[in-house]
Amino acid sequence: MTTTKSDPWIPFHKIVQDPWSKIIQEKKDTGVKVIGHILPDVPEELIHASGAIPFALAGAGISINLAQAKIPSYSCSHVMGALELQLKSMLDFLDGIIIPYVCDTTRNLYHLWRNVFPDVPTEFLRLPKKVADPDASRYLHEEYIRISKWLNGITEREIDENSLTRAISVYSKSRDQLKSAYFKMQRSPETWSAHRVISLFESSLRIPREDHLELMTYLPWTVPDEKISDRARIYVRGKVWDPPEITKLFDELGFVLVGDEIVTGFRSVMVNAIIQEDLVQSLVDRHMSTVPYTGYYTDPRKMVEDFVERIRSCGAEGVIFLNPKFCEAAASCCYEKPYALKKNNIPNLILETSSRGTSTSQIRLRLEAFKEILTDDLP
Amino acid sequence: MEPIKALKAIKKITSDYFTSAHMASHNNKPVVYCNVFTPVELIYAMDMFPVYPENHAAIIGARKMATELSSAAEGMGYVMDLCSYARCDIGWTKAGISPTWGLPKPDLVLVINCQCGTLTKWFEVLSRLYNAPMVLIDIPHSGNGEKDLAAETYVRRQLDSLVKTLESIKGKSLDESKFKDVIRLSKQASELWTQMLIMGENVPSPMTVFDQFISMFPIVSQRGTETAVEFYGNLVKELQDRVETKTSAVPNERFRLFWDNLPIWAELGRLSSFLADRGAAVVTSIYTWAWSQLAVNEYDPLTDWTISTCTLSILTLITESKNMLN
Repeated sequence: MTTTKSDPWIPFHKIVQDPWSKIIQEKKDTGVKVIGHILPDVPEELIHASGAIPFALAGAGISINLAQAKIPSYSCSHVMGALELQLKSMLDFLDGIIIPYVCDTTRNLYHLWRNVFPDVPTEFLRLPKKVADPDASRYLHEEYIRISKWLNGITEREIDENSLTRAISVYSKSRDQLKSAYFKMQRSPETWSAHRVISLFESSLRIPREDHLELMTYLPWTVPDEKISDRARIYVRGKVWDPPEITKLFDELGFVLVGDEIVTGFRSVMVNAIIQEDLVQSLVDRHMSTVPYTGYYTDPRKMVEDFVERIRSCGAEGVIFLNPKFCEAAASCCYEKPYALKKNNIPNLILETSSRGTSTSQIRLRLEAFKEILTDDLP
Repeated sequence: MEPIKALKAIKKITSDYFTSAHMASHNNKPVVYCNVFTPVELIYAMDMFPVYPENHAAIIGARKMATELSSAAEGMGYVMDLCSYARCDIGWTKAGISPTWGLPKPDLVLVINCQCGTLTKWFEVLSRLYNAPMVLIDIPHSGNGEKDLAAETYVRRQLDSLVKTLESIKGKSLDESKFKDVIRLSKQASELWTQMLIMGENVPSPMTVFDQFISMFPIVSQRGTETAVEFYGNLVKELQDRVETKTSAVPNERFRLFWDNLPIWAELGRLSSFLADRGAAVVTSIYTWAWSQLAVNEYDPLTDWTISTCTLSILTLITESKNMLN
């Protein structure tokens, strides 16, 4: 594998900017199958164990044009963007797509996808909405087995104990490395900037994980700790990094990420699957232990208390809600969580973003004002 | 245009219902907030009182109070893209005004998520607001209505757990005999409801979907009661008479239309007149057909409810409702 040792970050940025070239080349060279999955919560380990490469689809930052003819304009950018990519034939290299049931919009996207693209093998991952519930765990176990069979049909390879053990090991190792990078960002935010570190996360979802692990070995892991006292420690809640430039703004404006629940951020590496006798159960347990995405259900009071506790435990000074425009689940939490934070004297900022009309300049202005509040640097 | 006489009873049925709802706690009936696909028969059989925030929101809309109450919710921080049903109902808790004198405080918040995810989030808000326990019956969406045995097991176990929760709140066991009686009444009401919908096949149609929308209240909130059976029995009988006498809902019916999606509660009267003036009869709707599939058998109602809910297919509803256009 070639890499630019003078700037080891370049390969990751390249993948983020052009997620397609490398995977298409890989497919041409090896004939490997590629399975797309709409974020979040499709277990990549199952896809890997079936012999295919998982390729994450997120619609943030995609300029919407064709999708508006197929889906109501009051749908979130994440879903519209993914649809736009398929309509523009940019996903033709995929051998199949898994759409998870995380909200009404993804549920309807599945039906729409099947109608609009009848020749694309498409499966619906029927995720239970309950977490921390034994019956939901049992159901998810059966659902993972059903999805495994569908994958076997595409790759013509059985998912067996060896392949699943190998997949779990690779992904655990990758998540551990990404976690280390995230913590490195908190100690050395000049070198390990949010923009760079999040590009590691984003790129890991779009190339073979083994290759990504190798690329990460060239990163400057030994760089000494840097001064961080003038930075505001923030926690981000939301779906994806939308607009994609937001991590650059965090760096430029002097924020440091101490935690997040973004599906392409720390949430994606927070929990590893622990290998046990029943490997599918390992994946179920991982899903159930991950911080619930906003569309899932837990006890309503505990949900808010746990959220505040997560913020307290990582020492965040402020919280940014990165809510996708038209996301009903996120919109439903616009009162309780900010209110609970206020009661705990934790400032918060709600940003509603969309690839159809979000002004980066306006976001910059609001972030600047938020930084002034956090650092008591008011004019 | 000759009005349907049986529909006049709706005003009293609604008024009596909300009076009973506000008196429920005084009558030792725990209040359970439900959504429309909840197996409400269980609530009635347990001698509890089901209350529907969705109905509340619809009435707020029909009484043209939605602007004021949704603004109140937006003032709390809920964005204006959020479902207006949710905003209207949440808004009353802030504004303190409502055409039904509000809703009584719940002892339990119960939601079934096969309708939409917003309901779960909305009911979470109510659960926190009233400090009431919440139960979610999670229905995995099987895609195209195909059978999912694992889902059926998952849902059935949740119903068993729900029964235990209800018994714990009420302090008594579910009376199976009473449950079967309630199921029988519910089935009768559902069958009458479906008979009413089928009347739309007739040319000219004896009723429009606007009449169906007005008549929905008992099938939503009072399935399993004598009230619903009596109301729909009278309605079906009158409609049969209208079919025999060729009494049409829309004079000089020229166009037969399909109504997609939810009613626009605040504009029912205006839209109805506008279309009728042009000879257009809206004779069917996927929305009202949703209640045609809710009847379950007496032998094992919870299992039957599980199977029908897990395989509930919007495509079937579309087919059945559109048949009325032929």
